[in-house]
Amino acid sequence: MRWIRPPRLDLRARVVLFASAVAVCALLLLGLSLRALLANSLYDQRSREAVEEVQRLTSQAPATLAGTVGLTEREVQKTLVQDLTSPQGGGPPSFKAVIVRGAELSSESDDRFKVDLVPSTLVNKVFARSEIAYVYVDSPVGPGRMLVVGAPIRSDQADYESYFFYPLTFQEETLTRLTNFLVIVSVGLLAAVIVMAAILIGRVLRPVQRARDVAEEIAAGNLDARIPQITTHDDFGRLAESFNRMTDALAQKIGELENVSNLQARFVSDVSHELRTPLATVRMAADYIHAARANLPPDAQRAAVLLERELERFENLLEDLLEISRFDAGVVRLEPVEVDLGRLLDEVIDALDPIAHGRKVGVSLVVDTREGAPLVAADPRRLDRVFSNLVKNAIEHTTEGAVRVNAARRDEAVVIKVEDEGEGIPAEDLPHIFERFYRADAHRAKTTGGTGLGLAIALENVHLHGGSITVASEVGKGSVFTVVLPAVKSPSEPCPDEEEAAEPQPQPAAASGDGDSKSEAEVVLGG
Amino acid sequence: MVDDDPSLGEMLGIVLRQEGFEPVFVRSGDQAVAAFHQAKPDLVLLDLMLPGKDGLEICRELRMESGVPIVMLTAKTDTVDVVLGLESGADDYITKPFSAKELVARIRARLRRRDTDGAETLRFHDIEMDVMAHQVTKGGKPINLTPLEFELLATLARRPRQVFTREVLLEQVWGYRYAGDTRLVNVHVQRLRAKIEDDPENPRVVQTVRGVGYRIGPETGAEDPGLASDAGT
Repeated sequence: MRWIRPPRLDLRARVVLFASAVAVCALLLLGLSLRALLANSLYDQRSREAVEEVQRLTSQAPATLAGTVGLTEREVQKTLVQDLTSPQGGGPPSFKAVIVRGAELSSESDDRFKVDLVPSTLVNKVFARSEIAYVYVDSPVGPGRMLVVGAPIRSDQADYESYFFYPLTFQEETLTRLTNFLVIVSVGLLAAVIVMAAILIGRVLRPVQRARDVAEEIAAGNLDARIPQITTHDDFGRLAESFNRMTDALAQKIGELENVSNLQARFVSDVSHELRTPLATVRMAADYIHAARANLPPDAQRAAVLLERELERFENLLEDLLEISRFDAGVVRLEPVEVDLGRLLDEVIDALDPIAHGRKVGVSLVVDTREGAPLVAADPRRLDRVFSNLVKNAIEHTTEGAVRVNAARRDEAVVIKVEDEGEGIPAEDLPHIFERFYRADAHRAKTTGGTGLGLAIALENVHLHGGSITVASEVGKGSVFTVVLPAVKSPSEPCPDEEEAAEPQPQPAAASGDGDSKSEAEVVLGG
Repeated sequence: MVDDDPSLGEMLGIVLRQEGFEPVFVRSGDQAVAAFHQAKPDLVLLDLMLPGKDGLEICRELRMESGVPIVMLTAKTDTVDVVLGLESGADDYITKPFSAKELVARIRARLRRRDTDGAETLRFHDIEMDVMAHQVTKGGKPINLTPLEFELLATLARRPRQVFTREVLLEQVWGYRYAGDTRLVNVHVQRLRAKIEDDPENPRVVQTVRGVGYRIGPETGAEDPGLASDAGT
């Protein structure tokens, strides 16, 4: 069963085990006492009958003894034995053998029954107290036990004791049959108890299992799952009701939250879009005024310059907001093409050259291709943004010194490091640096015109590509941003046209990305 | 110029008139096609989000009867919107907010006509291009290409079998000096193929070179790619 939690036995097994243990105890007790009761009454009856017979037989003995005057002791005993074993009115006696014991001798009707078989306790009772008594002894002939009844024979001439051996075969067989019957019935009852217990516990547990299945389903994300309405008003029915009510409440809350977050993402996206049209007008108007500022009074000229510059910042902020809202709304889909990071980084650094030049910061690029070309499956425009942002930050945070960019293939990944020799980032700011609008250095950031979203967007973009971005920094020494992206397994070779090798190639024929639809034919060159 | 925002229209008017254009404005999508017939413009600026008939629909209708250059104005940069617009027949797009300079550059690039020193005829496969007359025939039958498609095909055909990267095509055909959107090239190559290939799913004329770009493919079995460029008529 799925809900076993090893090493503990599951509930069903425990209940069945417990029920069977109780049943076994009860049946054992019942069986044993029943057997003892029956055995008692069987043996009691036998001994009562035997004692009556013995009384009857021995009561005639004195008369027999009276006719034995002049005989030897041995002959007297023989006569007595013969007399006792001879059939009386009601048929042959029911005992197996008889022993007559005198003062010196004893005689027996059957050689196998010697006088030493008679326990001394019985002899004592019969001889000393002159009363009829009986004991049970092990049978000298065959298995089982025998009943020995002792009775005194008194006469004027001499005193004798007689011991009668009664077989118990019938009683013992009856008891064996009864025991067998009891065992069979007990086993049957036990089996019935086990089956009943299993079925009952199954019925009892089914609603629990159902509740459990539903809970699993909900955990798997199906918030519409409910326990089928149970009509019973027992604990399970109430459990199901409470469970369903709880799930309803949860589903409603989650739905509300989802709705709010969707609405929020949609709202930001809509606002950004709606802002674009008026912003286009403002932008053109600002351009127009800026271009015509020569004819304006000095203050208005300055205003035109500020307007133009801040509009640029406003647009950047809007772009970043729109971008991050797209990530939040989960609508960003990666359409990857093969990108050579060496070339991409070269272009990024090229484009940032004016800024680097303006701040007199040297930017170097080292691409390590010893373990293969740094090829990744990516959206080149997104990676361009990521690295533009990192390199631009590095340049802007470096007052004097250099910015180093390294890219290298390492096993299944491409590792890009952007290092600067700037003022570094304080340790307490490091964990927050990828958060939105977090400014490690508020007064500085204002002059460099960052939107505060650059690193947050970089993080989203790197995650989108299945990569990671980390930062290490030491105040006064500088910072290192490390981006790790999964590499493309085998670099596809650029395909120069052999026949026209003399023709000038329009561009270095490296991977420029192939965003065509799949229906396009692949051309094998060189034919 | 089709846009529902009056301020943007007015501002565009100021900028465009200053640059020597004569803009005509339409505020709603329903009037766009009629206004087009009346004004017979050299270029259409088209907002995608319009009241009434939407931009994509207007784009398709204009394309059915004319090769007039169409530049989309879009407030959305989402992939689907741009690609849908291009597939509906727009030649180029520009994302709001744009600067006057950007817009004018895009308009001029679309209106620019390549100066040719006399007549030029390009022949490849079963296609003949009369560059001067802007006419194309395939197997003797005329084919209707938009100026942009014509320019794209002519650029490829002038250097047959040379591979052009998308970036180079963006620069030479669309006039982008910096990196543009390579989807422009992809979509228009598809549109071009639909008109000139026997089987657009399996193109023989404009071939893709994986990871690099496009070229005019060699004719099957022919030793010479069949370029002919003769001066004079």
